[in-house]
Amino acid sequence: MAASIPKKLGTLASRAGLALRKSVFPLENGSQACACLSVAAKRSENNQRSSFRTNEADPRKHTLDHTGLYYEIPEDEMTILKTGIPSGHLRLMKSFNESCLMVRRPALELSGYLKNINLNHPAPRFVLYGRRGSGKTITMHHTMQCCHRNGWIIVHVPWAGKWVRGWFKEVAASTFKPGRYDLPADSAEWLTQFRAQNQGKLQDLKTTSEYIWTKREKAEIGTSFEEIINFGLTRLKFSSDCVGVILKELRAQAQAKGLKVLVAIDSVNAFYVQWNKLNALKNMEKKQLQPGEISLIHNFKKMINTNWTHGAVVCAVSEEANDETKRESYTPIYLLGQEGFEALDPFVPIFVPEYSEKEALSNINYFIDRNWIQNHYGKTDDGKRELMFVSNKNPFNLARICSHL
Amino acid sequence: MAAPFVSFTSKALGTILRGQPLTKCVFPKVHLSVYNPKYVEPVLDKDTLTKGLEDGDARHHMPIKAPTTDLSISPLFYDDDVRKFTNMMMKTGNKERVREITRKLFENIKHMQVEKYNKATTDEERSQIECNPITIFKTAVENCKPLLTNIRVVKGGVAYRVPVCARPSDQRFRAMKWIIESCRDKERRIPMENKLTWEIMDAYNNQGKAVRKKQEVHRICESNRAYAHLR
Amino acid sequence: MAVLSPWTRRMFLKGNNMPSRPVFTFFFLKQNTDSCHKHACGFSTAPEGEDMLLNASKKTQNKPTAKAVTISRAMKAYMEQAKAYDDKMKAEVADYEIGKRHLANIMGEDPDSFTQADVDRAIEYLLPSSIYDKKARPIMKDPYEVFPKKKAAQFGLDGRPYHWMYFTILPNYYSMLYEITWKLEALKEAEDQLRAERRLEEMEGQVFNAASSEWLSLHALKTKLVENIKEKEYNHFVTMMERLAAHPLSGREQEFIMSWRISLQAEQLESAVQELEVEEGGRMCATAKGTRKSSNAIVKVYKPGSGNFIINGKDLTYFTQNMYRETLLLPFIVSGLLGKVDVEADVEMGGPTGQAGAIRLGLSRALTAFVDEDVKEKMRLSGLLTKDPRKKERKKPGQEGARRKFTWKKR
Repeated sequence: MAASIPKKLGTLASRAGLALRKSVFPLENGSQACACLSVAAKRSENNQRSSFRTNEADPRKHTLDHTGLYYEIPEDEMTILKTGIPSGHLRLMKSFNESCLMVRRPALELSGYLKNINLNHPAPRFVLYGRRGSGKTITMHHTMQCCHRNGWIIVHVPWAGKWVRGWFKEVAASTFKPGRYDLPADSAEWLTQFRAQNQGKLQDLKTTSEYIWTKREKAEIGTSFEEIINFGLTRLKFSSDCVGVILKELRAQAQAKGLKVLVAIDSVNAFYVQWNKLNALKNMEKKQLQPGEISLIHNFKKMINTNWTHGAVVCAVSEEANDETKRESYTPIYLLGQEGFEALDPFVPIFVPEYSEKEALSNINYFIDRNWIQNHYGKTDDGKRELMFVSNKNPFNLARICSHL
Repeated sequence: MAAPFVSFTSKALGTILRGQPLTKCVFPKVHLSVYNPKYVEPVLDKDTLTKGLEDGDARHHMPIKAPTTDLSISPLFYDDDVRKFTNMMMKTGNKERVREITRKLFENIKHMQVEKYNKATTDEERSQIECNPITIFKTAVENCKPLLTNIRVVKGGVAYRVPVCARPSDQRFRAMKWIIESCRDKERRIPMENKLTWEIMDAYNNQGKAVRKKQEVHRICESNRAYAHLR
Repeated sequence: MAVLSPWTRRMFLKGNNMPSRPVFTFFFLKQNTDSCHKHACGFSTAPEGEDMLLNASKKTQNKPTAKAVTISRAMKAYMEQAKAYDDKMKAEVADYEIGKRHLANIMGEDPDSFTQADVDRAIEYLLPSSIYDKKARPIMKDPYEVFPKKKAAQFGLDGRPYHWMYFTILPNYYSMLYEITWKLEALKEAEDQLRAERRLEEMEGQVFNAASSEWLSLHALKTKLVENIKEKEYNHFVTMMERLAAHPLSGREQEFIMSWRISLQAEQLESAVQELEVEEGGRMCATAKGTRKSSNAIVKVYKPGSGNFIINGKDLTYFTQNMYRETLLLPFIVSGLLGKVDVEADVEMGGPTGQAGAIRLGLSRALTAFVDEDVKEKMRLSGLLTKDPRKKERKKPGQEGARRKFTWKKR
């Protein structure tokens, strides 16, 4: 058993390395993409095309006039945004040979807030909420792209629910504090993702205090973040602690160094509400773990606190992160529960509605343009109206229905 | 002479609706439907309904059966072959699951084809790529349809495998059955929709297990053609 | 002239219409009083019976001839029976009336305006019964509904039958067949005449249009003729009638033929009739009920609207599966009102399939209030106005389920 753990972790690390290399790969297809773009440019003369697309590719310049329109994300930025985008969406982007997102009102609202916040105040908190499949995650990614272009450091948790489930997962007792548990694989994955999302922003950052891992190994003052991440990836036993160190240093240095830190956590309610299913996370004694006992979650909970400045926290609450018995409503107060609500309060709630008629039409037209809706009737006005009726204008459902037409 | 009087008993109506004379029925037919035999199937064809039936059509005066839950008039959500295929795949009435499998099947096919389409640079290349999953599915089923089947005929104590023409409904049933069965035979851990995607894309190109099954049936018929007169 | 026996009177009156055809030979048969008695027990309408009874008794008093006395045994038996029946019915009716007043008092309602519907309701309330068969549950009804009326005497005081086909056992049935034949012969004659005079164009379009109706069922025919007809005889009736209806001039006998037919599809369109109400703010509203399996739905449709759909206070997310939303889409597509009306539905019992079906039926019925006849017919043709009668088949005793038997092994 003991021998098998390092082996598994080793493969994981190599896989993480692979993922890195892959993320560079799409750049090589640039010439092909350009050819496609030229074809697209020809077609853009069509008036109809402008009803669902915009040429304004910079998310910082999007205004309310752009709501309901699709904008294209360059390939290199997709490596940053890719983590956390729903797999179905990613698959569509691959088939369409371009990565497009829709500009929607809640995202504009959120970017507006972020543009105008006073960074010297404690980090403000925003909570995205809405029905299942209404576009909370995509809204978050839109904001993330904005912040990325503005030079923010992005601390992104694609799906917090993942950390509280999985009976098969590797769980190790924390080296730092007894009674807490580490998730080495998940921590390593997050470190890799963090490094990929913040390429070129981490060179100047160095630790401000000493961290002792073991008797022999320690990180001196002034160790760079790169080194800490590398250490976490090679010594998986300490990867959770490395996450903690990075988060702590970010909080401490944000003000001094004038950093801007965006904490984006999807399904934040998983931090506070216990997952009651059979596949819940269990420790070595087969006892189900509380979310607070997991060191990763413990560390990220600190990011949500208001005791640091020069940052902003964007969270999303989602029904899927809760147990099936606790999905009656989609409001933050219900989903977060007493503990979570008190921890997050005060926050700015941002409702993500389902598509308006214009947005739904724009989505359908985009699908038709990308040759996704094949059914001839689906291209008629009657067909579009029927699609809207059956999907109830829910973005996820609309995409699901269109997937087999 | 004026037109002859037409009686609208259920028998006569069957003749009118099917457009062909009733086959001779040896056994008395058992009426198991809850509906009175006077009831006829609903008109669920969009074109026919927009145009309206002819004035003399018997259905203007017949009581009509209610359409079942899975029937629809919209060409978006309903296709008879797809409905048949879905229902054939169903186990223990779990329709939600098979509908999801069918949806994913079409999604997979479309992803494969649309990706090719959007990557193609010239119009010529594009015109050769069929993207419509329903067309692909129908062509695949068409490719698996057997023209002949064997029936067992006992003459003088000897059983012969006699080749006969397959009825259209039988052809469709067999083609779909073979496609589904060949997928069920494959590796169990792979999701059904993925197996179906491969099988259907194979059948679309006239390859694969189901098409081979059809060819095998044709071969048996060919070798037994000497018995064709025994029918 | 002495009193004409009813037999001869009928023959005499009918003489003009009678064609010169051989009349049945039972003129010469000897009358058997026993058989008369037997056939006197059939059913007929009450007033006629009373009238006959009255006539018969008067005649008995006035003319006590020797012959009448000898053959009046059948009559006597009949009269006794009729009197007994009459007395019984009088007592029953009196009981019923008193019972009804008692019921009204128990229920605390006005006894004078207490109708049969109220009685049924009161009985269901006071004597609730869980017996499966509805016929076995307690009832209180008009005695004339419970005890069927008796047929009046078919013969006079002298024992002679009134009807010229009395001895065929089914006089009404056979005289009807005769009538059909006479009519057919008359039509043939007319056709021959037209042909002889070369006025063929007059024959155009005179054929009977059978599209919207069908022949009376066996049961309906039995009730109409008050005779116990067998299936063989019914088939004969249909054959004869179809022969008549197929004649090129059959349109001339439209009335006669239609008296033996019932019109189709009345039921389906009847349920589709909805009344419009005007809401505040000038919105039109139609309400209809729908059922499917064990679900019941009440659907309200408002026009003009913007396409809102509310089910039990939720929107369409009430149905998580898209299949059910497609089911609800069907009436909108056929009626062409998608996005033009608002719908509010309340549905209870059953599962999603039943609930979706119930809402669809109610919705279709309510939508008929907003469309013209043409579209209504289209909705009927697509089966939207039909109630789906299919239900879960009941479990049978001695079986595992509706059809499946228990596994059985000999040893």
